[in-house]
Amino acid sequence: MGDTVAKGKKLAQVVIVGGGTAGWMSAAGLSSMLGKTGLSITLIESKAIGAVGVGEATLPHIKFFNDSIGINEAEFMAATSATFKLGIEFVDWARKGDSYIHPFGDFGLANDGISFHQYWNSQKDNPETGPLDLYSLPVMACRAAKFQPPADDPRSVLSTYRYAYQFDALKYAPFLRKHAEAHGVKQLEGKVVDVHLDPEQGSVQSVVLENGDVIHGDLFIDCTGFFGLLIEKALETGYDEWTDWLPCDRAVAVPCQSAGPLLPYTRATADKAGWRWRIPLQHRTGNGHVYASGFTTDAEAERALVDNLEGEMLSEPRQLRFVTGKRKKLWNRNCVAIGLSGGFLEPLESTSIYLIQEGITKLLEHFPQTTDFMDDAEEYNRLIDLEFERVRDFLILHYHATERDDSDFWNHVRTMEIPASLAEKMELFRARGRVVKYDHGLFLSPSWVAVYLGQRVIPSQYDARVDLLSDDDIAAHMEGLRTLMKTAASGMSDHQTYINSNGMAGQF
Amino acid sequence: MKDGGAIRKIVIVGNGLRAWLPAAYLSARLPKTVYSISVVEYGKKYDIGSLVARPMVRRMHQLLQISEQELAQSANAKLVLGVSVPHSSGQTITMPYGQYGVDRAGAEFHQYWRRAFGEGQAKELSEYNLAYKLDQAGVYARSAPKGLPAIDYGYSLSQAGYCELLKAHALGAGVSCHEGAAGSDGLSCGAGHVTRIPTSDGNAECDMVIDANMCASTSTADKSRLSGWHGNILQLPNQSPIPGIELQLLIMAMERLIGLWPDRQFLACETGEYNRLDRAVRDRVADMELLFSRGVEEIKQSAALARKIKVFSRRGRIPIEDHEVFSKSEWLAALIGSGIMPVQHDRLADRIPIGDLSRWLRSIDLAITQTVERAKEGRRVR
Repeated sequence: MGDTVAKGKKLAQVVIVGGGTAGWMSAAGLSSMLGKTGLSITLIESKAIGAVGVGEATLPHIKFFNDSIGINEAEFMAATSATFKLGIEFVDWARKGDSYIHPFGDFGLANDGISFHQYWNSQKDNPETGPLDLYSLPVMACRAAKFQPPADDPRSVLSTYRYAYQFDALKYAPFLRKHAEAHGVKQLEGKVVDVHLDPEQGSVQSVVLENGDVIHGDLFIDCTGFFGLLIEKALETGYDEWTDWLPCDRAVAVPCQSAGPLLPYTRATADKAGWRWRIPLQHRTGNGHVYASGFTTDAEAERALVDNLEGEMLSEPRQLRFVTGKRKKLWNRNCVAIGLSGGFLEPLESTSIYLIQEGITKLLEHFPQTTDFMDDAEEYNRLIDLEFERVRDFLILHYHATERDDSDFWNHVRTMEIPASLAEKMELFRARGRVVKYDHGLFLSPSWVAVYLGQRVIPSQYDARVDLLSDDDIAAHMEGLRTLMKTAASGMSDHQTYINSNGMAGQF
Repeated sequence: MKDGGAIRKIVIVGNGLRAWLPAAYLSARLPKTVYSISVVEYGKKYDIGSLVARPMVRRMHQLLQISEQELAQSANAKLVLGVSVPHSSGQTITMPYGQYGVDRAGAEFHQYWRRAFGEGQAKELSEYNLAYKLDQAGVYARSAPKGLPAIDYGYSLSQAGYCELLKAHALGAGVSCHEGAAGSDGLSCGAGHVTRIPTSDGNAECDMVIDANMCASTSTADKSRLSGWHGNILQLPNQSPIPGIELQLLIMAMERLIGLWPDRQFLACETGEYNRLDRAVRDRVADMELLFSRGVEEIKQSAALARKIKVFSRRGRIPIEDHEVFSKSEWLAALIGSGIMPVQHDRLADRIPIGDLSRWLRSIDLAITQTVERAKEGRRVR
């Protein structure tokens, strides 16, 4: 198809079905980048259908998305009651009582081409060495509830981290709506009651609203969440389940009043049959419990959540059900599934909004000129599949690399067979702390190192070239690094204080 | 390592640049106080004429503290901004190291160019590549005009001179040099594990061997000569018809070896990771070679190359695999040069009115032309 001349008619109409985070991010992203190319974008949403948004924790990439659509950071922070985020804390994962932080930054400094963690591993039996935490500025800042934006000067240790946000997802979508509408997106209120398929090609021709209106489109974006109104109910695309490796299938969420200092990180605490999240926002704390229904009951899971709240509950707990995995084709015919309609990976590493953003970015990169776009869809799906699979392996690592044997759930995930792609990665790290290299994919070496070591996957040996320095020299370097990180962290601004003058809700 | 399993003695078997580059690289990473590195000279020297060093070679020169002055004196170094390679069509394709134009607002330059070209508002793509234009004029510049990406450059080097330079660095860092034993090719034992290499005056003991000879042809039964790392023998990658690639692959092999620096157990997971990366890199090079040597129709044997061609011919996007060796600019030059023109341009390039687009292209053209002119002036003055 399309070997010598462009076929099909000009792609002019995009219809986004669903108005949650995925819908309005898609609308804002597409309209700001392509609004001037003769593309008309309509978003259909229904007040009757609630959005799934529970406090959202994000990854540093979101800043790029916000910047590219011209969002002012302080305005965004105020509108969504956002806080800053320097990493994710994992509590009780490898063993009860453990805690480590996966930071948005590297550990220590590499030397002579040898990663810092090799030196750490050579010195870990020295009591002075202490945990890896002490060699990461963002981790030290997390522990001390500090935040300030990274410095511009690349020579400064204060430039060696990145940051993300934790925000109220229910407020993000309305905030984006303003930007999207300013770029020409048309919003339609109404529930979609029917989907018309092209009788010959099987693609989506139009959607029908409750009031009888028929909305035609060249390309449809399914942002209807788990329901998958277009991609699954209409197009029957099919779904690859990954529940053998990631057995959690339910979550219960509830906000509560905050207690203690405002923390610049998200916490994930392992529980008997899953894990509990804690996401600090400006005005409250978002909490949830992701669990496997095969290993606990809804009532028990809810009790574990409620019993561990730090403050007064602010609403009734809400339950969600999901199936971990992804749609067989996220772009099928003329429908692209973005958000939960495309797939679900539990938010253990805050990847939900990242995967929405990747869906949008890759759609922009492959955005068709005409309605002949089967080749675009093929390439899009190849890239998105790779992204999902690489995140999947990283998530499985958190469960599988554990010593916990205190419940059937942990016994299952600890002993289950894992994908060969992950088994090879783990074997290589166990041997000498080497991280499998690739160019595509979200999580790079420092992330893998943080989680391997945090999950007590300790390499049995270290890089022999470490011994080119004497133990005394290494110890002195490490002491220098500890002092550097500690001093830098203590000089940083307090997280709450920084927000008070940069993006406090009510400021705009 | 304190368990006594550490590698101490490394022997490089081979001759010329293929042996002395690894020797120089390793001697900078493995100090002579702890490691003994020897070169046992066997086999043929290929060091005649000149060779191209791609931009990444500067990374190694930094490590070895080789200055440009030294390169000029010892190896007659000249700046190189790209290479020209004959294509099976009979044409010669120039692949510049530097970018085409400049990317803008989330879309690649060539997308804007494709749109304007389609509307008769642009010159040939190569006209917007500063490196190409400088090369055509036979001049060099080290800095790009404001608004255009920095110039990336490599060198053309006298092969014999460069080899001598690396050898001097290696010897200075404590590498010892031996002549091979007569009537042997050094690795004739063929076993998976080699402990000594015969020399003209005895044997060189080794914990690990780097085989710098060319891979033997497939007719030999000597399995130890397969490219890659097997047991304690690491076979260096072979030549490539694309200038600069052999040198780059040698450096990458050494960087990879140091990144996975083993002990005497030679764990399968570590040699396996080396070989996985080695294969991936060689596959990416093979894709480029295939594009030059075959017609577009015969290319299906590489899925990655077939995909590059298919996706590119559609709308100019170049799918980038893990572990690419060539830059996007080089792929762009090679694909366009092979006669593949994208049917459409990226929709993101439609955001600018055609008048503005055409003015912008003219301003880039002008900036490039002026830089080339100034470079010519400079040459006249000198």
